[in-house]
Amino acid sequence: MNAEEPPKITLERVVDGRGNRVCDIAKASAKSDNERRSAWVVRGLLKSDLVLNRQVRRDSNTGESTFDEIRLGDRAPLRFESGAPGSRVTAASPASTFRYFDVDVTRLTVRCNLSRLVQETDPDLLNAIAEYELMKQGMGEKVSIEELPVLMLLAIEKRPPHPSPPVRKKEPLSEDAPEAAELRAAALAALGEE
Amino acid sequence: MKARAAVLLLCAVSAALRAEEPDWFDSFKGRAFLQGDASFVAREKAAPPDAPPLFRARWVILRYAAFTEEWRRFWPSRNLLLVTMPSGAQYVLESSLGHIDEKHLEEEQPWYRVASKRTAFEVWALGWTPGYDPSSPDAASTPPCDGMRNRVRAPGGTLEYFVDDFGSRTVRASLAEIAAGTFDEDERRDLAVLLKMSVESDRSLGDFLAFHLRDSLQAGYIAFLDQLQPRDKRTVVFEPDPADPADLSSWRALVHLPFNLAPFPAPPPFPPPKGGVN
Repeated sequence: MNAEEPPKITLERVVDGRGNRVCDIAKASAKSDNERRSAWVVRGLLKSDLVLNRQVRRDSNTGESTFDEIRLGDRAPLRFESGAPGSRVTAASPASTFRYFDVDVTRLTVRCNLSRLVQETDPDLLNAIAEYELMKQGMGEKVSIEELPVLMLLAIEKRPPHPSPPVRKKEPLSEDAPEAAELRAAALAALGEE
Repeated sequence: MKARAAVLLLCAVSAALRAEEPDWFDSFKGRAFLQGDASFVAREKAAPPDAPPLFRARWVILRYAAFTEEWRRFWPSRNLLLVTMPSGAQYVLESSLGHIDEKHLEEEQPWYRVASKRTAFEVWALGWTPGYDPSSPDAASTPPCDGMRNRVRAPGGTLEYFVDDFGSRTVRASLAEIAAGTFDEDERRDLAVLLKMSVESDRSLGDFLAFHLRDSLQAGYIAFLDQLQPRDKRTVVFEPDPADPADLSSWRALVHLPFNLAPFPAPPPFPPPKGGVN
């Protein structure tokens, strides 16, 4: 039995200090007995949508496995796969893979190899996550473990926090807004619920 | 015309492939000389004198005339430990310094190598950056791949790691996987014996020979880092081989050994002349 609940979707709008739209974010999630899936679509921050996917599977033999993915629009994704805490993380570009332990994530070896994977996948990802983090700073939010690929890519460049990030606020995006239907569909598609 | 185009295309493809996968032996060109040559048998320290050797080893250093005579001290060198197991299996452990082009210091250089007749595990050195200090506060803002690194190339996989991270869990686990995918069970068993070599405490070898033997064994230490014994548990020692050393022809293919190895004359006194080697 693997009963799945219908996906939940949250639509949000990020605005600047004057209330002007910066971007919209759709978060979709679905849950079944052995699996949790989520997909975030950030639209308007960059030329392409920034898409984050996360899947957590529970298996009685192997325990919990987490699969994370980050991509820009329809471009190639950078993937991360990890098991129980303390186990090795596998990062994969379309061309190669690199496996590392979390405890080593600040080491140059991990930073260098992740950087290579980003170059193989999509060099624009680094600038994309820098923009994304700046927006999070502006909202006074930290990047969460749900956004693991962002955390990993931020570790590559070790950029210091922006001294005065531009003010950003989050507010609900009405289902009636003209952009809502497309954004909702994009989030469902990213979740694999087309 | 078509044939010429085909040849040009073949050359271009071949050059591109070479650019991706450098050849270990490309760094060792020119007339070759023999700088050192000694033969050993390896035994457990506690073994009786008539016990059969664990393996036989021949140590040689090859020097290649890449620069002019006055720079002979800096000619490229290959420090080789040629190992023959009782089964007849042959292995070469190598620590080397190739021809360094001063105008292209960013290019990777041959460093350590372990090879059998079937396969090879190569460690290349790259990223020599003058003045780079990974512990300095500025290091965080430098590109993530700047600094002294090694690149492992082997059929079992590839890995690029920073020298400072050699002992990390990430590097150890990857090296173990690469070695497991490169060497078969017999090769791993044979090479594991080399990890038990005790060279450090053997004063009879003398400083020069002990240094070079230890350095050639490093190649095995990198490949099998996870199996490396602590020094007090390394119980295999070298003894001079009483048998006459055979000629080196049986190693020619495995080691890429040149013909006609003349003795390497003592290098001229230090310091070298002013100016570059290239």
